[in-house]
Amino acid sequence: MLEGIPVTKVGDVVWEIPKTYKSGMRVPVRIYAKEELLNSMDRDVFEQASNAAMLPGLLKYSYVFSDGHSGYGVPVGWCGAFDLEEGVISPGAIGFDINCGMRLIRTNLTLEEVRPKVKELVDMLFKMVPAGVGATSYQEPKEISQIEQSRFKELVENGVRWAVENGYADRRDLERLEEHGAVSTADFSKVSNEAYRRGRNQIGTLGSGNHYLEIQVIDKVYNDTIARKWGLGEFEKQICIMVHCGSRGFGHQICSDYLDAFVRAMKKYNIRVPDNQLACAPFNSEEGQDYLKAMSCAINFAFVNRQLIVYQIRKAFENVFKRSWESLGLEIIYDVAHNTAKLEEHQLNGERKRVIVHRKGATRSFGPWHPELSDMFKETGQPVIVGGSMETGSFLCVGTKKAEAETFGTTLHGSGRTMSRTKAKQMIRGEDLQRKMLERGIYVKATTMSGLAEEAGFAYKNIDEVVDSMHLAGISLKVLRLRPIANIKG
Amino acid sequence: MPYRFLEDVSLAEIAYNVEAKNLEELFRDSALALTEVMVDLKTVDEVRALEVELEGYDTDSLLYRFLNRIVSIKDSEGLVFREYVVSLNDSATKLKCIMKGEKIDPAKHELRNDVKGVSMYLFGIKRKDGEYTVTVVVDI
Repeated sequence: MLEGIPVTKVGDVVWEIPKTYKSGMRVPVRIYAKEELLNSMDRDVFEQASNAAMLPGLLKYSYVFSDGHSGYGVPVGWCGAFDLEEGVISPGAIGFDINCGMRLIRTNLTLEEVRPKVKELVDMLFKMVPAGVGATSYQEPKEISQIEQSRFKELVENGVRWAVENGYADRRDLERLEEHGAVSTADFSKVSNEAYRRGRNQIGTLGSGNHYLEIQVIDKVYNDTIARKWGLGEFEKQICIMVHCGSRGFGHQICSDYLDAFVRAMKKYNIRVPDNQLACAPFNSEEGQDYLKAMSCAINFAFVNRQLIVYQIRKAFENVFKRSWESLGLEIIYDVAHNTAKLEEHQLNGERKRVIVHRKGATRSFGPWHPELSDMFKETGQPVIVGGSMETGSFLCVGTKKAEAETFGTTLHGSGRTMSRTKAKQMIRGEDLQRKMLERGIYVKATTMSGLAEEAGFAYKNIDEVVDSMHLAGISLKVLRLRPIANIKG
Repeated sequence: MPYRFLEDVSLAEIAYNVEAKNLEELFRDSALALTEVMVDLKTVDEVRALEVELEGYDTDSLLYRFLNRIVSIKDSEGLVFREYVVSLNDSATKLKCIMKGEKIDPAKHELRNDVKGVSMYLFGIKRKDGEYTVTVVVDI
């Protein structure tokens, strides 16, 4: 799909589109991908990344990673860092599902211990972690359902600290979450009542689409030293649990509210973009700051949402295995955010500079000794959780100094789609896919069969190639690979 | 069918196209297609009615807000609808809609995707040969 697009090779797996490609581009586009993946990307990836390169105040490059596919306005698998004085903040360059992210949990259990109970476990989890259309917070804990506005404000302004104070998280959990489970820029007064009304009964729910809860087994370790430091790969066939979900209707409403407002704000500030999906406002403007504060509430909401799901997972495992979650070793490995804009300090032209880093379908990838990291990750760098399709498996990688130097500490987030949902469900029925997966030892339970078909493995890129691209580039390095044995899909 | 789902418009999301003789029909059929993404309309009954009034700064923004409101009501009230009676003012910047449907019930309804909202990607009402068309990309 590269015909007519001036892509030049600048490294083994690194490519560039010069800023002369389109009038108005302020920086070049930089793509990290093996050549086969680059060639398989849809043309809109390059067009959208070039359009994003026109946003005011964008620094160095408009980055696309190996999992890149077209989104609306800006590709998914994209990163851009903006200058605080001259730059903008753009809801479309963050994504609608603010802080959609991944969480990985370890266990002391082996495949042999879990396999005989997998159906019971999945059925229990399916009941306790609400998913799909209209799902509302599980009735236990009752106080979460229809949470009143003053408590909701505390929740979204304090993130997982709120969950600790209310008994849904262990204090140690905070050390194992990006941003320790809360960004400090949240201000609930900048959130619409409609967003609150959508979010108040969705805390602890999975959603649908590509969101899932998966029971996995470690099937290959690439870096034994790091894996062991994180409490993984100490014994054969270790079971882990992976969760993928975000800020639900709450985050989406915030994005929609501000996208609408920013279309008008652009006229006020005389900003021109080739596509309304790139609507933005100067970072330092009133509109820009209001969005930062509202969006930060959604970031915190998503951290708490995943925390409540972990709370329910721990309860479900306790119910099935009749042991405490502590003795089952259900510790969080890490939690990463995909769709965010965050204030971070980066090295730029020889000095440290605060910038606003937009990541859309991209993961932070900080290397060893980064001051943001907890003690347990200081020597290794941060865990980077890369979710694959429900059929093919996932990876755990580690962030690097090279990522900090080259990509504002950013890497890929998943395998990336290659086929539309409408096409995928024309190719296979959900029931057939469910049966085929069971034959291969993957027990799947979904709220809808058509939704299941949309997530078939063939609709995604080859996860090994996608992860290898970033590994070869030195942006995130492989630690271990996980394969699914059970999946719950919303 | 007044609306059809598109195969290759958006990889991660669901897209559909609507054609209509007038704007009221365009609004109604866009709403029905959106609901069809969430639930099989044939399984929804008209048990209760809800009236919504909205304003946009132009017709595009009104449709965008209308569709997003339907998603918002699904989340906040747990309601889905099978009928939309739309009336617009002369400049098509204000809307009144009576929506008829019921509470979501997984035991009764054939549920599909939990829509998060409607995007602005490719969004925009077009008029051609006396007909109105719009492409809608739904975020799920």
